Amino acid sequence: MLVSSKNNFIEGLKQTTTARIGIGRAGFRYTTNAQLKFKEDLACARDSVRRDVPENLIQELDLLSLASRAKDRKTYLMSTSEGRFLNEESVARLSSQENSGIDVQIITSDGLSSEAFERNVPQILPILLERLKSEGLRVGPALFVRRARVALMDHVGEILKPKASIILLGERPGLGISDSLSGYFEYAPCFTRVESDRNVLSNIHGKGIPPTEAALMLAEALIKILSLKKSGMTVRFDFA
Amino acid sequence: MISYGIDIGTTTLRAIAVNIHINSLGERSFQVIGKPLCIFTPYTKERDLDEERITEELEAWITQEKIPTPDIGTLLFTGEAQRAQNATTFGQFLSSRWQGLLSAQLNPEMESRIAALGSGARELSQKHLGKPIIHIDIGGGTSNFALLENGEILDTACLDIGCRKWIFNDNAISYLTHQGKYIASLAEGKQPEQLAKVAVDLLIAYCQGKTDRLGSLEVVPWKSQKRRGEFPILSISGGVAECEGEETTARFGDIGPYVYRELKRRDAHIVFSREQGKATALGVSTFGFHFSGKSIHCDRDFPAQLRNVRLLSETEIRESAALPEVFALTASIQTTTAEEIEAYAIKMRQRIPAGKWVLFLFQGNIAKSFGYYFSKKSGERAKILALDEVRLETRSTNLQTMDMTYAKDTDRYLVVLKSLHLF
Repeated sequence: MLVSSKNNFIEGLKQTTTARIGIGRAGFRYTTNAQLKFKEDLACARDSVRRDVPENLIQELDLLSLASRAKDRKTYLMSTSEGRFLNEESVARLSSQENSGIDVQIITSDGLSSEAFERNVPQILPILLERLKSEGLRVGPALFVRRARVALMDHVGEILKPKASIILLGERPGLGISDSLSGYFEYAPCFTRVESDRNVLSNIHGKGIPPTEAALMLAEALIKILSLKKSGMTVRFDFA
Repeated sequence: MISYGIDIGTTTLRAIAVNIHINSLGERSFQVIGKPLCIFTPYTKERDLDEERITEELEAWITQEKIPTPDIGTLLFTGEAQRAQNATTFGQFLSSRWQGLLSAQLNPEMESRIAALGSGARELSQKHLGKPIIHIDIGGGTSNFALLENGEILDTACLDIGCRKWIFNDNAISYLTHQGKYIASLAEGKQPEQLAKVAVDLLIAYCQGKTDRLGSLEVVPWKSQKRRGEFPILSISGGVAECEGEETTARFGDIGPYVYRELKRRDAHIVFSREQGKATALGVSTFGFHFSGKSIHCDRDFPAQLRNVRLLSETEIRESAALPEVFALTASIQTTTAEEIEAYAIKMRQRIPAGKWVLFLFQGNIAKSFGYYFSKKSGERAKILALDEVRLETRSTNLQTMDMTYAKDTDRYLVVLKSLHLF
């Protein structure tokens, strides 16, 4: 009786996570199923990192397509600083955009998971835009920046001078989840900003924070930092 | 924890206070505080509950027995009392007077279940494995039936037969209800013992599945006909079970003692339970959970505090012709896809009339999305507060209410679920 309820408890716990717990063993090795699942997840993770977001999706979402200084995936992975700046062509393109009186600038990127972008951004973007506009906020042209890092929002901030900025980008894939997205946001983005000036809502995916829910949470968070005129560690968000 | 059990029935009002100890293993023990209260249920001339007298009696009992304020407890309206016009408002008043009390008007099925569990019929059934046991709680206005086997309640029913449907004065009889008149018409005469004989005949025949003489006395019928052809063991509770030694109607003014003697005369295996007051309090209690939704959608003018709001299921929403002005709803939707949440929100918006105030409780993380889609289209609609990550982990029945308070300093909504919990 005790053993059975203990097993039920562990089975219940296993249902709550994609982490590899209680996967069993066959002698000294993993079971064949566990081994195959590991290989499958690893392949998914690699695909997410290496694959590019299709251009037609970017057009469908009406995003202005830009790129970071990382000229390819390998550079992006090996040299993290390259992802923090727009390349020259993108700077020129962005500078030609209307940039007066932008309250919120939305940036999206594949980051470390193109799958995260493809699965979540199409759901988040319309709701986020609508919610921000319903508050009377002026939202800048929504951007897609290939191979961006979080700090790229500061470079965009220097050009468009928005009051607040948000970047939605794919997280580093794990072995259970390869489509997790994060939303980093910041008040008055510029080059003098540091990590502690930013806030983040992470774990946005089907098994974590659902994208539609995240869109509304992020919209409320942006409204909050605009009213407080600050962001980062001094602002508390419980996302409740 | 101090728990009050207050049972306002057709004839009697019973109250008991118990100190409940629950150890870390979840084992419970009970200790009764002071003497339980048992009085005739006071009514006004209009057959409403006499609120002033009931409150006075309860307050006097609490003072006299030095009973501490309750942490939890149950206020039950049963039989005719639950049909009194002021039962709901009076229940709300008492549960605000003693916070923590769950006020409930029991439907006949619940009444049957609670009586069966509280009177010890379940334990009796566990002793007689494989044999059907029928428990009858014979009250002043109604008789509640429960069919048990191997400790499980399989079915319930209710008849409009009780001991206080007549008033006897110097051999003259006056009828309090139409049902009383009908029962009297089946009797050989109008004497209490003759009425008691008919009442017992009808009760026992009903246990055997015979309904031909019942007329309109059947309030809630048996749901199935399983095994009621054979004569089972009977377990009796209610005022009748406590009538041992009562010779006439003088003390109670009803036919309880005669029904008791009539039952004793029958050639049947009958067990009487004499601890109904205590059993009710111990068998039923409130069960509270405190939650704060992880994600919230709140309409601007939604109240910051709600008390004793009824908790409904989606089925009840679908089937109820008249929904309460304010209620909570446990939403079954589990999905996180935008399309399904939107479809669900639209369905709910159509189903719940404008002007209602609804507290939605979701298990998944979808409250904001739901609120967004619910309020997206302009026009008249219900006002809502949606909370998610709320898990209602209770073994209790579907009779539940809840309190909600907005804690401004922490920007959290605290929710206390109060439900009848059958030990």
